[in-house]
Amino acid sequence: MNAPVNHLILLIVAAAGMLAYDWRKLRGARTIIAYLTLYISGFTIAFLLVINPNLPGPTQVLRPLFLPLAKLLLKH
Amino acid sequence: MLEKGRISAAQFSILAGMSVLATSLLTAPGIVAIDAKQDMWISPIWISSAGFILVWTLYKLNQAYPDQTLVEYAVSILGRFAGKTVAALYLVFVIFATANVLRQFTDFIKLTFLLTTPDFVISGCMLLVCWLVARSGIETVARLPMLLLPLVTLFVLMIYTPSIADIRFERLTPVMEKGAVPSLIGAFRLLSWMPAFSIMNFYMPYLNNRKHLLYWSLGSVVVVTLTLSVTFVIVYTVIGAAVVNYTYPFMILARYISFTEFFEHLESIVMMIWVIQIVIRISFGLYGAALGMAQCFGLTGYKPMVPPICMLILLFSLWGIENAQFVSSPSMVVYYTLFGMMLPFLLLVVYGIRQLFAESDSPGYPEGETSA
Amino acid sequence: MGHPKDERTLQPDNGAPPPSSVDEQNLSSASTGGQAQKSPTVQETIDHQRELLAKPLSVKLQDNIDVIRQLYADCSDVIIHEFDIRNGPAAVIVYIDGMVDIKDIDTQLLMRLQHDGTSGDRSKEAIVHCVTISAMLEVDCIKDAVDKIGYGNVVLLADGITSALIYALSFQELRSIEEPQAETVVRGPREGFVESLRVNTSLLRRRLHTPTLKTKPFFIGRYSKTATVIVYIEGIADPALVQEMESRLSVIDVDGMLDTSLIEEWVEDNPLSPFPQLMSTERPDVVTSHLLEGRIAVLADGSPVALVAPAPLLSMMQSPEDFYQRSLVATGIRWLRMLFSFIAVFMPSFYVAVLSYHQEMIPTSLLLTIAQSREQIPFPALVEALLMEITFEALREAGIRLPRQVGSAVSIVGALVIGQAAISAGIVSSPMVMVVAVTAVSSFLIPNYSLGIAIRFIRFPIMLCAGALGLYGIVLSALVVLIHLMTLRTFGVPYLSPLAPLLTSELKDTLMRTKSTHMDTRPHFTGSFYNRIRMRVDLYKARRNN
Repeated sequence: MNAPVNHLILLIVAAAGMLAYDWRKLRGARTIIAYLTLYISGFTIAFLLVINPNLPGPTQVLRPLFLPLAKLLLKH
Repeated sequence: MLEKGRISAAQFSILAGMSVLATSLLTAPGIVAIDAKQDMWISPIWISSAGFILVWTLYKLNQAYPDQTLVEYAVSILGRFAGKTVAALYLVFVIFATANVLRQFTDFIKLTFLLTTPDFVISGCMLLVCWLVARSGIETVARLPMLLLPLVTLFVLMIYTPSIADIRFERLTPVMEKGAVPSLIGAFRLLSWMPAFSIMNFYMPYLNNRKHLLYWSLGSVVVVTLTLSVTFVIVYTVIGAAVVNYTYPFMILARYISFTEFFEHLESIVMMIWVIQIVIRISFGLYGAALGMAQCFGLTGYKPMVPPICMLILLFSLWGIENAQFVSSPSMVVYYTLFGMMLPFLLLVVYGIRQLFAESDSPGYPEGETSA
Repeated sequence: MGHPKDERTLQPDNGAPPPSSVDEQNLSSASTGGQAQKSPTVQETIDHQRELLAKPLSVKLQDNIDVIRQLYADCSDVIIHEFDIRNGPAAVIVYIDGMVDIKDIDTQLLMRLQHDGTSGDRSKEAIVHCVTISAMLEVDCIKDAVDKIGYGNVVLLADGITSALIYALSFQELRSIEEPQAETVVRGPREGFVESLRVNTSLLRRRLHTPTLKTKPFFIGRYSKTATVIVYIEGIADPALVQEMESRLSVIDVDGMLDTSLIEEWVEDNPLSPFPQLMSTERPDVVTSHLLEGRIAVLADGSPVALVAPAPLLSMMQSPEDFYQRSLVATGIRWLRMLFSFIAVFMPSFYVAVLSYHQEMIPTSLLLTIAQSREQIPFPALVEALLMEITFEALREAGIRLPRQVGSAVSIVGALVIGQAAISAGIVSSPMVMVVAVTAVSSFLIPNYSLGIAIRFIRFPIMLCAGALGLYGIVLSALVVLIHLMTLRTFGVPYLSPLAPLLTSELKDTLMRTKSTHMDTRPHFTGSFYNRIRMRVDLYKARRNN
């Protein structure tokens, strides 16, 4: 249980540092919205990943989606 | 215009070529050899046709919308809602493909050099450098490969030249023993690299000598094909059928080298080549994704998008991937082909159909929707 | 300069006249003969000075003398000599002792006016006619007159004349022209700039006998009023470049400008970069050759260092010697220099990386030797390297700062004794000492001193990266440096040009030095203004072919 806490602190420090560095440079509401959309989604994924490193990722979603097509093409 | 810089067609094609070669030189031999065996050197030649079609598609689209990237002309062609969706999916593809490259690189460094360093440190440092490149604008992104090309060429030749003595050409025979099928399957595997050419679309509007665009980009495909072919020949003639056992046959090549008992382990040179190549490949994707994202959101500058996309690339490179081999799995190849090759092609087809209908209605139809 | 708070630190010689209330107060205090009844505030003092300076010259001589005396109160080196012109008005000359030629004042000015006189004519023309000095100017306000006095001119004021006559009789004690210590050559001219602007411009003028050599004057510094000139050749230098330099110089608003290095910091594009973006040189021949290539130079009074802009990286890797030696040899030396500048940057970090992460790279026999010598060393390679490099930098700095007599002793103690003792005490290994020595020597191969410092400086972060990530760290940090160099610009010219962006036509004088008859075109920097042809080689070729 110790490692996730360390990683969480590291993650929060890194994310806060990144936000602090970028925040002054964001001009205009649109930019802030766009930035925050990406930032929050990234932070959430990172947060979930730290808590549960075995979280199924996009690969696991894509694989069953495209496997039939791949089989059709290659008969693997 | 989000970007004021201009690049030349030569810089553009070197950028694209080096980006596509980045990971393929290192890992492709082991993967292609599984099916193609001694015919593996033919596979790049088959797949170059796909590269030509892709580049021609992008060229045609660029001619139709000279000042727009795929994100923008997707909206012009498909309309606002469908266009934005397709653009967003395409951007996810770009980010995802770049993240996979990063993952391959991280695994390579971790397996061969820095055995105890954590993953995220290796990829984080790499992304930091790429962030610097992408932030400095399109001119830096395009000039960096131009400047480093002589160095990389020199290093690659340093690996190739000493192994000439060990080449056994009889290993390549019999040619096409089982017909064209094995090399075609190998070519299919190569489809996980060729779609990276589609990221070219983000750079095409910023060329200053656009009339040379087609030749230079086709030349880029030719050079990539030839380099891959030559590498495959050298790797297979030196190592033989054992290629399939290695993840990084190129490293084995470097390990073979023994120059006057002094230059023995040139693995670090391989590593240097790859750090440089991967920086170029990731900044190629990172800049494209940031520019596309900014256009998708309708921003006035792409720079604020770079750090969060770096973050996403880092996460996607670690998230739910057991090892880097998955890149060559058939489902991944299909995914890459769908988004990297079919999507631009379908856009061109839709554009062509709309043009046909528009000619009977009013001539300037596609421009009518650019405001959306 | 809108804020009154800022005004407190700068002499307001170009500001508006002060408010009337303060005006009256100062006048009254001035007329009573002393402004030090109670100690005045900064604002009062400055307003008083400003008010005195803004006055026009009055018809009455005595008023003018009063103002000048007030301005030069407590200035023991200012001579205010009152006399009567024979058969003419009363007059006064003002000058600073030590800055003018007293003999000339006596023979050309005082003798003429006091002995010959104007024969009854009280007009200005008569006085001008009487004095036999050609270099004369007229000004009509106190501020200009005082400026001229400060520059070592003699000011003549006469009763009934509302303008001051300025006679240039300045005379300076100067260092003689000698070879610059930091930029010596074996073959080539030995002259170097000195601290006087006039001498420096004349050194340039002696090499370029053409009216197209322009020296545009500027005065920088509110107190120091340092004369600064932009030197360029009209018809070769891009006018936009000259304009850019002018606009960058015109925003410099400081109290004093002591050396051109201060100008450099104000005008450069990226002040945070460790790399110099203007070339500094003490050699008139270097400046001349750059002027002929279309660059511009800035010289300032009191500084023997000229600044040349734009200065891409590769032009700073050139030594004047390159052009005085045979081209093939010069190319070889240039390659040697490039190689060793890479060694200067990467050698210690490479050593650290190889020893800590990539031992397999070293041939076995060599590895054994190194391992043997490192057996007793308590530190990891990174600490060892940092220790030695920092010690070396300290010794180098001490060698510069110490008096010359002590300097050699310190360098001997430092290099020999400390090195030997450190090895035998088992603090550092002998390969490390060798690495440091090689690095030290190679860093001095770089001809430009400030570039050399920059290169020595960036070594340290790269060493840290090498200690953390091995060769991977070195490659990454090298790329960071490269990217930084690519984004740098000097006066609109990319720092790495003509390599990035690649300009094949300008590679003749970068990585190699071609025969000078081959360098028939000038480099092109910015803008559309481009005087391309540098030489005509038709006759030369015809002669060669016969």
